Amino acid sequence: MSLNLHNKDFVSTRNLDRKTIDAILKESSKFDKGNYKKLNKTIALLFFEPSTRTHLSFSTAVRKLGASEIGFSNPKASSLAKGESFSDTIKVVERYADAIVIRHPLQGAAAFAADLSSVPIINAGDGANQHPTQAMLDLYTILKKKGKIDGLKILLVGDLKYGRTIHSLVFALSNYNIELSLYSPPSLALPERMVDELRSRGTKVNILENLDFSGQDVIYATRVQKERFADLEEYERSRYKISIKDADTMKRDAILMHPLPRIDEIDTAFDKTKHAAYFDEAANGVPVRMALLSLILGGK
Amino acid sequence: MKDILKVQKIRHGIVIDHLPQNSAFRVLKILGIEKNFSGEISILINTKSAKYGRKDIVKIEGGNISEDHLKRIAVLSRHVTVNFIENYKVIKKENPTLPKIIVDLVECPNPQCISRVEGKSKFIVEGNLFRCAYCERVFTSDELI
Repeated sequence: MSLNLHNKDFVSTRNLDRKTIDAILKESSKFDKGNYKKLNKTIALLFFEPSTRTHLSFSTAVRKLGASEIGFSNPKASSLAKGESFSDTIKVVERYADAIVIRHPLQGAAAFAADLSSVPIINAGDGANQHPTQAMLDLYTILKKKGKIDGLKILLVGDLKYGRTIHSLVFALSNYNIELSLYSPPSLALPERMVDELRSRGTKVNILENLDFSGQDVIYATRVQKERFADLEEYERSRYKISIKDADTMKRDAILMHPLPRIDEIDTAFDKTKHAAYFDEAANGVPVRMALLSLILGGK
Repeated sequence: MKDILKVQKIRHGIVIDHLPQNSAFRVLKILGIEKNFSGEISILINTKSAKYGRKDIVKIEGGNISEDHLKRIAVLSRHVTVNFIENYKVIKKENPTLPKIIVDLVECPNPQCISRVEGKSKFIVEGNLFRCAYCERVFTSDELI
């Protein structure tokens, strides 16, 4: 087991190496099978913006570990409503908790908190930047469903510009020998500098002009976020839907993933097919987050 | 044919040499003297350079420069030379350098970065690019200064 994570912050996948990721995935599998030790720690969940799955799965992970949870899921119910700064909030909470999990609408909030805090900071999503724990559960889902990550063809569809799950996932995947294909509305393409960075790491990246599922082992869809568009007509033009008819063009064992919430990107008719991996993906958030908390806070 | 001196020598002050092309006015902005400066400033834009082909030069009679200004100029280019002049002679030359991590020197241009709200900035120098240590976005010097 890698000990690289002990007492460390977990704010981004950009600099995660394969050894560390493999250790997290291996540990997640143990937790998934119910094989784990209790964790006598206090964990703060500070959610400065709404969340369903991430908050609930972190909360479930903390409870299943036998740890104590403090924090808030509605900043209006905290001293932030009185005007307390983000920095002061972190400096106070670090005195109560052994680790702090942060969701924040601004990019870089978790890394900023990590600079201030003496206890480990775990990024639960910072604006359009990163969502590294989601990337770990995404990789765990791929590994569990496909038995491997190396050698797979992976298609990412939707909002690749602002999607934080995408940004974390691509850098985590860049540690593996995969072929990445990208399809998005032109205004929501993966930033060019990020594509260059991935290619410089040796990842094969294809930019698709048409949505083509053939040959793909993993299809990862994301929501086109209405709130990103000033022009509603452009939003309407940018929306897409993976119809059940598209299943005919997919490999028989292709899996369909989505970080959720989905609006109408994926036909609900997929839900009962063997392609649908998105609900299992959400469920995997619990063992993966348990494993991460234990690796960060557990004994050496 | 002999080279003709295009701009007079200065008596006391600073000469900022080997500036990238078309960056002279940005240097004045960095120094905070683009407006309401009563001293004498000479600017050469796109002048010939044996080393870099073309360059800009800024000469400020009576001017001085702080450590902070030097670092901000180093964000523009690591090839700049600052000559300190007294009685028409160069008494000191400095090549502004940057540490690997620059803190609270320039603001992150990303309006969605937490550093804009918290009033602190941090960049990691990656060759000629600058990565915000918080939002992870990468910027050129043109985008930062």
